[in-house]
Amino acid sequence: MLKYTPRFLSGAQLCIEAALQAGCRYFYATPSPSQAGLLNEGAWRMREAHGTFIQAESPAAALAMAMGSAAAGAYPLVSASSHDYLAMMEALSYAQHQALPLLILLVLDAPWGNQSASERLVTLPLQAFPCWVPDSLVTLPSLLRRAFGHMRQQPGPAILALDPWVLQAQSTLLPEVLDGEEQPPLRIHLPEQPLRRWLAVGAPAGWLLERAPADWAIASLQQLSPLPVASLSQFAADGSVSVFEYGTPALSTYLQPYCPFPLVPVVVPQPEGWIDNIEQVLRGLNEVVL
Amino acid sequence: MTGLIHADPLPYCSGCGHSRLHHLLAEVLASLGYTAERLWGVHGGGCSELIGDVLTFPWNAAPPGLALALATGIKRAAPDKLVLTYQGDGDLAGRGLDALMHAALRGENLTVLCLNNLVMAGSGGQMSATTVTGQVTRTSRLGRSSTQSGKPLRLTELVARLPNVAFAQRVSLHSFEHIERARTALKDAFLYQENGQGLSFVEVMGACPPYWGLTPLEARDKLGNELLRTHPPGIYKRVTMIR
Repeated sequence: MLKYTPRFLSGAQLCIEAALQAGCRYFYATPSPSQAGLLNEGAWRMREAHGTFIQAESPAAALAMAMGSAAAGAYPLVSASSHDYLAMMEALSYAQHQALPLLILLVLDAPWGNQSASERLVTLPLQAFPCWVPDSLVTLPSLLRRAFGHMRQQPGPAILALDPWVLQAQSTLLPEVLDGEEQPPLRIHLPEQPLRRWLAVGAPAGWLLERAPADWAIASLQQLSPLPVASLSQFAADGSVSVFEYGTPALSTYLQPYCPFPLVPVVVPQPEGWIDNIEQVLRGLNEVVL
Repeated sequence: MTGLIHADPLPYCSGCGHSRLHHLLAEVLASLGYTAERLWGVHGGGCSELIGDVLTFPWNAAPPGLALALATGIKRAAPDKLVLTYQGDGDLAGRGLDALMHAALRGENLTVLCLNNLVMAGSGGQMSATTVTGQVTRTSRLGRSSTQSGKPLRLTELVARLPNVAFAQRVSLHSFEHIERARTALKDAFLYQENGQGLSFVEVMGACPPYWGLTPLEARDKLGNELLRTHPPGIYKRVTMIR
């Protein structure tokens, strides 16, 4: 059974699995680029667990649905990007006023050229609501469960603020099934010395992960996805890291000042037949970079 | 009066459609045998938010325009409850239109009540989306202009065209005959929800004498003689009810 074998989970999958283990069965969200992985995963996992998932028409509607379920006694989950979060501020004040327990998975992103806004947003929920910020996949499940536990003690909105890098990183999840009623703990193993590392943005990122899974990879799957450059300093690399991007090496040029390791741009031409070009890049990658 | 209503006189202006509808709603719910334990209401902003002080079953205050989204969450988490939303035209036909349409598209098993008095009374009598052409409000002092503000939105006609809507009817409260029709419509709306047949929508045309600038009797006559030409009562959608 897949359930009892080690699985390779993304951060988004890990969030949903941890929420299910914490007892959450109601998930409301509206799609936006940086948190779409949570919806993709939660849409079928919630129903598989006999829960409820509704793709709402707007972020505020998603939060209002969660407020309704919370009023009926449930502990619902809402996911949001930074922009969604700003759009649901009005409804959030109602939830706070009515002390309705609901957890917001807040993916702290920002569009290109708006990094300063993203950094300001990091401190925003910390001031208003109970907020947990997992720094890696290792701490994510336990913090998420702690957030649900906190809501049971003190009803009201709570926030799990997620760095998009954490959300989109991949790791192995080893559920250890115990006898009895105790919930199986989540154990996560990150390889200490990854053999292959990637930093990829845009469609090539997902494509790369499918073709040649890395031992440890960070991939920003959407072109509009965030680049929290401050967190790049947390990553250490022995050698260089390849950056895949379309057209011009603008991204690697932009990121290099924030990175403590050298970035090697691998420019993917964008015209027709770009998949073939990626295959060429992959071949060259295996031979040269990695 | 039934045990579902506990404030009399109600906190509304003389001749207000809300007070008539509250009494009617309490009577209908009691006649169907529903108790406060079975019911759950969600109200929007404006004058309609006072219903939480009038009817005795639990009410949740929704953010502006989001009553139907909040009711969706309640109904999904507590499907055995009979959930109704109560909004005015300013809340439902303005900011709440997307929540209404998406709840209808999903076929949410809810009863949606809208007291349409053709103005945004809670904020002082401004023009709403349903204000009829030529009607004088605080923000249309020369009368609503079709060229400047467009034509009035006909809510029930809009809702009736959406899929997964079981029942859509517009009623009025200006005469005994129409009040009896409203009573029947409210009963049907809750029976559709009880049967799980989809969204049931009742638009109730009511008067707002202060912000129409009329006495209660003049407002009642104006509603029956003039305003219902733009918003004609009737059943606009009705699927076969499971008995």
